[in-house]
Amino acid sequence: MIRTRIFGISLETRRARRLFVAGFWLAEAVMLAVLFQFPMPLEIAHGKLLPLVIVLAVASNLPLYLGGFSTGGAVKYYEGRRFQLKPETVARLSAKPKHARLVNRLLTEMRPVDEREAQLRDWAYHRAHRLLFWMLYPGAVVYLAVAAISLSLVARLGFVLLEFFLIASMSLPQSLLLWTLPEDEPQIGESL
Amino acid sequence: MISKRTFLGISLARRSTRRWLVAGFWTFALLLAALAFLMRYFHLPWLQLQWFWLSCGLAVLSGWMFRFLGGTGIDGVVGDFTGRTETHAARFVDLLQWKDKFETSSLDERDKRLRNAAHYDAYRILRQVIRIVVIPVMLLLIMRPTELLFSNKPKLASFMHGIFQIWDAGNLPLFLLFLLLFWTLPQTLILWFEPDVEEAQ
Repeated sequence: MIRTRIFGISLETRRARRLFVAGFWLAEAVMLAVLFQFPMPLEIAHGKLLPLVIVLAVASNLPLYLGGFSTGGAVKYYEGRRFQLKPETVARLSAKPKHARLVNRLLTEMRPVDEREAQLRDWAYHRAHRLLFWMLYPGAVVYLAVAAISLSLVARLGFVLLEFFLIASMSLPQSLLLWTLPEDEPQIGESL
Repeated sequence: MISKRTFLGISLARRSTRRWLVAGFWTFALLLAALAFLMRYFHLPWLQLQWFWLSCGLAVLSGWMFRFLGGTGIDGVVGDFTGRTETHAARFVDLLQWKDKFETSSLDERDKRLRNAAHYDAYRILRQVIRIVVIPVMLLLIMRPTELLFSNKPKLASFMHGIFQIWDAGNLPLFLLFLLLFWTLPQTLILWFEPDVEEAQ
């Protein structure tokens, strides 16, 4: 379900996985703090659109590295095989030693989740759904409190909260899996 | 998993009946959202006068709707997802026994699997909905100053102005609808896809 290594960082121990998750959320927090700095509605005349788009793209694409809904992340791709390789193609590609490792990784990545993995995944989604919903309440309270204090800040805060919700909806289940799975969890090899 | 066997005297054992119930629930939710949108968009005088009472009514209705399908309470159509029963809910009053509430669960292995799978499917759908909804909303927030963007294109500026007016009237109903979707989609999926009770037995 989880990789042994991603970006050269070993994920074999739970401590390492937790550090990886903490690092991910720290990076996202920094991105959201940067997003909060941009005035809303954006003053395009002052040329702030490009930096905003860059920060937004980085923040929205970081969850890909946690995996789950994407291939090559820390958690195995949930959906299983997206394309079918013919046995003769596999045999032909594997014949060359330099391609064999890549083919092996690709086949591991595309293997559909088994019964146990599916149960783990579903459990993580259940927990993440609950957690995210309960996060909405403090989010709404903060939003209303800020709306009462300053209308100029509300648009910025709304924007940041939306982005947070987008990120959390993509990465919270994977974060829970990486955080909670035990040390002896079967691992699936290195990142592609 | 389905705790209520009847609704207004109608048996919920059959899947087709449950689907009608779910369809009715969402039609009602959409009608409420449309009503809230119209109230905000047209600023009708008689609606303005009744605004307070209509808001109170909508708030009560939405509170009821959040609990109606169940999942997060013991009185909904779907059983509580934590496995809480009426006995557990009564025990919750006694704070000294709060631990029992979490340790004892009426959910069996099949119920837990069904619940978790429903959440996975719901989340998958919601991820796509979020992408579809959030990105245009963000663009609307970013591109608000139409006069800066479309100063030399009056027709486009007027069109965008109309879009912003619709957004101003529709953001709150849309948000509430989304919240309801987020809260009740797993329950909706369970009610929609669970087989007939006789068939399941």
